[in-house]
Amino acid sequence: MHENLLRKDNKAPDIDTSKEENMGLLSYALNTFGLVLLTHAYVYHNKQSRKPLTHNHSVYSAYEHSLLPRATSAAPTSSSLLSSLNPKIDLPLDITIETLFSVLILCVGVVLGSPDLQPIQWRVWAGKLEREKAARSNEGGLVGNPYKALDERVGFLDIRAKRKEFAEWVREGDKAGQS
Amino acid sequence: MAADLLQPPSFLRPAETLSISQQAPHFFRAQRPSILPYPLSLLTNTESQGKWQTYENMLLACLRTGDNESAYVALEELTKRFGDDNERVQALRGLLLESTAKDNKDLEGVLKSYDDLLEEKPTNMPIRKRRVALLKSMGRTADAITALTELLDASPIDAEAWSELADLYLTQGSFSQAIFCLEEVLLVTPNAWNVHAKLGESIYLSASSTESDGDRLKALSEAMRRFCRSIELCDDYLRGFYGLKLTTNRLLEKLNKTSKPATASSNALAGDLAPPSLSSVQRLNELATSKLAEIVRRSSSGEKGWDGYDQAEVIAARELLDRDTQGVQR
Repeated sequence: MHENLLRKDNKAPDIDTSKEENMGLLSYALNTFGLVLLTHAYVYHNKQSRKPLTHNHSVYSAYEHSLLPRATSAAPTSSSLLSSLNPKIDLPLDITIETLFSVLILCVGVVLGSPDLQPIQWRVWAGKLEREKAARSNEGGLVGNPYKALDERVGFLDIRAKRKEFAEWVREGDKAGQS
Repeated sequence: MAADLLQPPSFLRPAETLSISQQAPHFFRAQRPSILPYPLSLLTNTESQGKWQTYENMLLACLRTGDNESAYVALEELTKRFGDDNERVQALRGLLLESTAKDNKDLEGVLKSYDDLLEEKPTNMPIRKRRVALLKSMGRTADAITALTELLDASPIDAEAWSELADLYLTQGSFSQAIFCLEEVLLVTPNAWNVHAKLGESIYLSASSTESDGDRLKALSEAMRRFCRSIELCDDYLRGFYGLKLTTNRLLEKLNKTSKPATASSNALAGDLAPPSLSSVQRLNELATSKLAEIVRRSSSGEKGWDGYDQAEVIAARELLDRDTQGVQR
């Protein structure tokens, strides 16, 4: 029965890697596109500003634009606190839509480009340790199997047996090399 | 490479140990302290978190490959840093003496030095453990067991020592004592999936040695439950699934033979569970077969993320599956 299983999906690894690359490319493209849109929205916004530009800081000028109506109005009808909480901003609709859309795209791009999540379930984490060599190394702050020390007890290391085992391995390696 | 150096070399295969010990001379030269005067030398300090662990592992790797000179250099550095009376350093020194001992007389001398150290300070745990290991290595298993039980009397939460004692009892064929020790290990580390599997294996072995039919059934179902726990704690655990397959095969034979299955527990007062039903054993057997087949398939086709299994274990699992299919065909 497992003979059949053996033959099935031998190609799986290739598909997996190409998929990962595609995802990386997609998130990269989305991020770039979103950033371009966001910058564009701010720059566009800037040009719409009725106030003469004193400096080139686009984000700051968006803030300035939001202050404009209050500065031009003759007398503030409500208290200054209320008006600062609820400023009357007359942004053109296309800028609003562009900004929201670019932020949405950026969100999707960042989520797609995020690294794989680490397992938080015990059995998944343990299974990963058993399955993968990479998960056992200390890289990335993950320590290897903490219970391995119960199988291979360093405190009770029988060094003479280990030496003998190693010497035998060397001798066998020599024999295999000669034949 | 640095990752390997932080793991004790007894976990590694001979080839990896060899490559580590071959780096040793170069490593020690690179780690030499700077010659600058005091405040400036702090700037070029090489002492990092993993440095001394690396030294210890280097020492163990060199001892294993027989490179005594490098091992001696490492031990000297460790002694310089932690002092001569540090217990861990003393144990490492004993390890060096043990591995360079020529004959039994030398070993007796090392044993005598351990006894002297323990006379001075009976709580010296690393040396007590070394003493047990040396007794075991000299073939005096009974003495080793006695020494180890004394150690455990003093420190009953030492999971490593309980595990070692279980191994010693297993070599003597005293299964019930070994099972008791492994249960003690599980009291300290209840989530250790490998200990659950080992306990299952020990109970399985003890089932083969019991005479009475009822006891054997009880032991087999107990072993099955232990293996189930180990795979509950660890996905795709080859050792656990192997054991589960083996025990359920035996259990199926047994349950098929007995005409009327016992549904009640044999001894409810002692907390014994009733033997599992035929259908659940069958389902577990099927699960173990399919899981083993999947592990063998993916590991031998070299799939990404499935490279961690020991090749010998994978081959053994494949043989078990082959034996099973042959039985079905006949």
